Amino acid sequence: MSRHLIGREADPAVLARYAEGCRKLFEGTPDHPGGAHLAFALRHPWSLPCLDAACGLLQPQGILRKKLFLMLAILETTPRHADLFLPQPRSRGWLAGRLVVWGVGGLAKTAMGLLLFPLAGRQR
Amino acid sequence: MSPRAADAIIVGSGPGATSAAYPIVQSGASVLMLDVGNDETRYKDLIPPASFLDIRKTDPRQHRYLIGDDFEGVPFGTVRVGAQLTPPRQYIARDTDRLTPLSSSSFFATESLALGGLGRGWGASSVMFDDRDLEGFPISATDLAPHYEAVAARIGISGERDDLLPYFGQISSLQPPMEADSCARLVLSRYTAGRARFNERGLYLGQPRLAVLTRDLGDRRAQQYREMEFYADTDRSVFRPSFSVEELRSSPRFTYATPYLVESFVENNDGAGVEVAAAHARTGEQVRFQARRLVLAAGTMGTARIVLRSFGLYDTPVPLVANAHIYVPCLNLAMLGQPMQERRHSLTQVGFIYDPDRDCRHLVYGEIHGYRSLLLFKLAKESFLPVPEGMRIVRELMSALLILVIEHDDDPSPDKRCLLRRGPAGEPDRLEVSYARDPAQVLRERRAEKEIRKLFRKLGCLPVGRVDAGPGSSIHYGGPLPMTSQERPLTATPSCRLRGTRTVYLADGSSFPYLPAKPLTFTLMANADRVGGIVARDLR
Repeated sequence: MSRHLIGREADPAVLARYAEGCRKLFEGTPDHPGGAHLAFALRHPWSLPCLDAACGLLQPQGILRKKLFLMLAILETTPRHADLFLPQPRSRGWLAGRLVVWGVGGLAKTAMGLLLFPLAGRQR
Repeated sequence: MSPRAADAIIVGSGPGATSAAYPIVQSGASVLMLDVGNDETRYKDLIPPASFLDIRKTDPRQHRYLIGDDFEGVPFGTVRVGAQLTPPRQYIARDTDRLTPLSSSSFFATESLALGGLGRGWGASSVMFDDRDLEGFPISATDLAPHYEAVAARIGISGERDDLLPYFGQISSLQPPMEADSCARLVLSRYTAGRARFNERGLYLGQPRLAVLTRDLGDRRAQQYREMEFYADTDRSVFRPSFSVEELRSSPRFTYATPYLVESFVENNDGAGVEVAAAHARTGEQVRFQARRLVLAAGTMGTARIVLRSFGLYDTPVPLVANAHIYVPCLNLAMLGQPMQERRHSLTQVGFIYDPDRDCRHLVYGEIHGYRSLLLFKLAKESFLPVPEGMRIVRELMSALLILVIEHDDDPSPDKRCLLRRGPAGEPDRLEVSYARDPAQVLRERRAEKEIRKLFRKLGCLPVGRVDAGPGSSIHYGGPLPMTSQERPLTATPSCRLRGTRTVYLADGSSFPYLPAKPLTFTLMANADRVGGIVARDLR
């Protein structure tokens, strides 16, 4: 998940905190929607960006997105990753270009995710 | 061991309770303050006196107080009431589900059993009500004027004598205004350049009026601009009622007794005093206290509970009013890509009033806030994009992001009410709230918001959404026991003495018959100071 979110492996302390968060927030509660999509993404890590995108539209309260946001919250509050979450001065051109790239990239992943979503939902 | 008797018992320790206590203690009478008194002990020693940006880059323990040991600061639902209640502030609402349950499908209430009450999370906006705001009250701005001054001198208010002065009121002890951040300064400079045009259409902008020190006052320091107001009170520049409790405790005539949840009162037959029944908040043991006068300041709904239970008036509806509270995120486009300043605060950056007819009727009160210190992941969650793309886009927009907070006035109506249901054996009584705004009121509010959005576009701020966290989300409540000159049951006299009693007074929002759009807390404190003075004279 951290590779998907910030493009690199999280350190062991972050992973331990994430595991603790999953235990405290998600264990012992009834089945969360989207369990099949999460299981699919764990079996096929290449599918995570697309399923994340599709769940953003179709299942924003599903377990996949919840676990991603938990990891994001942990990464954001770790000094080593702080710069990734704090705005930096940018030129207007850089900003416009990046916003277009990220927006288009996000939409492309969403389109692929929408194709993958029903397939992943059928598999356990 | 706490005494069980005093000249006056005050219930609660929030802004109303502490404001009422001062004049009574100063008159020489003894005061016993009864409170559950929850406090924060888990995180407060972890938070260093450093800026938000420093903390983010250096403190390896930041996750503990920013998202919480139990991850209680990671919200998964939609925007909810008290989104600003970060992990170190969540104790403010602790135990209310268990001790003061409330049910409603239409109203999202926040109550507090904390030392300092809801005032521990107060945004500190401190504007005065004028005679037009007080039209439905049996008291005038002149009645409140000396009490506004007394409270302002005690707690410290900063602000500016600018275009908002006619709306915010004159205070002689006003400290210089807080420094606005660069994004807010840009909005203010655009407003100044086109002032006549904006005023013509009813929009007035200026420095916020805040209970925040910009000069040292007693043992409290001037604002240090660390942007940590949602997490800690390290410099004590933002007023919290708990500071008043600390100060009052230095008087031998004042006793603060915890953890007591006051349940009911009964007046003595001779009318010379009152007995208060309270439960120990942890053991449930029943304890009785005696006083010559009782001041109820347990919060609007807390006080309503105590009064209805004391009178045995279960299943009897009383009015409830609450300001509608809307968030409008905007992008100040000229700030895109600009560096964010390190030295800033998290409270209101700019205040505004929308008064289209310039008659102060149904005016709209507003504030401009930044967002940065509430963390980015919560905003990324609102995006439908894949999380990494959503996070990057939000990060780049952050320097330009402003949140307009818009508040509307609220009148009582038969569709806005609460009533007390008797709890089953061994269970606490439950307050039930049903609340529906009149469609004409909603339409009027939406029209005003539309105009405000248009005007902010002209100020270079592009609105990108509208979030209505629902009735009750303002945490500004009033109405159940309105002060009025008319002799009616379940009301208070203009002196805020509860009708049907000789010794019981109200010193919180419960006696406000109506809520203007302006935030009520400063007026609530001024009125409580007035009530405290009345009680002090009564005791002589």
